[in-house]
Amino acid sequence: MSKSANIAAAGHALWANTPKVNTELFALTYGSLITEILRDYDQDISEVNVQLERIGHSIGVRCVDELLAKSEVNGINIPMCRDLRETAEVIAKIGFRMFLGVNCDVGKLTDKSFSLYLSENPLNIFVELPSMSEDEGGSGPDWNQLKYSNIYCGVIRGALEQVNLKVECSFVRDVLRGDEVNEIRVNVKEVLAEGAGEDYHEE
Amino acid sequence: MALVTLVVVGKDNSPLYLRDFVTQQESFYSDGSQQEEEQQEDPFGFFERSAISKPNDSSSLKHQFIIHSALDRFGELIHPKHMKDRPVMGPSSMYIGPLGCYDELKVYGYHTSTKTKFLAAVEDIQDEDQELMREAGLKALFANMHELYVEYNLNPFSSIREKKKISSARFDNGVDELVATFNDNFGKKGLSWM
Repeated sequence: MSKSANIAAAGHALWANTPKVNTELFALTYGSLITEILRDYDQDISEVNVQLERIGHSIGVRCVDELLAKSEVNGINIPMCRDLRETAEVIAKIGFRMFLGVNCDVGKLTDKSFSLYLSENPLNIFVELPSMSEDEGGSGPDWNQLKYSNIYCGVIRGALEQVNLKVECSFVRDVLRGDEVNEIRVNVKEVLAEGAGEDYHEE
Repeated sequence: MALVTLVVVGKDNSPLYLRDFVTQQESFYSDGSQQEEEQQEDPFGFFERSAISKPNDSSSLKHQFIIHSALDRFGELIHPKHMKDRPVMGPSSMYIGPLGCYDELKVYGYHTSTKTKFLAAVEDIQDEDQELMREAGLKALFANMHELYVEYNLNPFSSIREKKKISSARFDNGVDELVATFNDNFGKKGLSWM
């Protein structure tokens, strides 16, 4: 379909025009963020996952504006998405490609949910989760519960919130735990009404 | 001819990684099970016995003593040698070379710019020509091991300051491959590369 070809081409074009940062720097910075959060929350893995999602949310809120603005500036037309499939395609082909330069695929599409598949993840290129059989035995944190790239879930949630889609996002498969691809499942909870909140309504 | 032990020592001489590599012939004496993870005799009960045997812990007492004595020589070689004409950068500047002969093993050393030391104990051979080729192979082995070590450190969950032993599957597997290649090229009697 020419539509998806356009979207993919748009993604590549936007990636070409964004300033780049060193992948290793990016990965190492994220790694130290993770260890710092782990230290702050005393190795409580579920709390760490929540915090990562929150951080991602703040980032996502800003990302969507940047994506739309950049595409305007570069003369790339991203048409309004008429259904969930197009939204998913834009996130996967333009969003992930533009900000991270990675290939992302959409799958398992239903009316209210879709999956995103990431084969390569720049955040975890050096990472190996510590093995469970450490000296502490059973008292150490359960590393398999750590969603290392949970920040992506927050970003998607924040971004879609800005376009009035309330979603829930989670990692179902993770390369660090031994699966072959990273899979993020996105479920649409509701479509929010247009307009500002009640505080801003005039009398 | 074959590489027998590999050791990584931190800058304050704390052991980070100790590993024996037993070749096919010598495993006659063992029970024939996994060669690289055997627990050697432990007369004084120095070694921890964890429920799961990790390759990291198994290095025989004799090999550890040999490496320890080589460390003294290592320390001597580091100080005044830097005043000589060594190349300043790159793997050839970090490669120290043979540290000494103990029993039938020869120990070689490699010293990184962050004062991490790699030592390898290799079975001695008399042939001079093979010796040079083997040193070249050893230099390559050390350089690759250095890379693996750097990759290990880039893992945010690895512990640099805490002086814990290196326990990483990726590192272990990488080292396995390097040693296997080295032993294939230089380990066998005779001219296997011709």
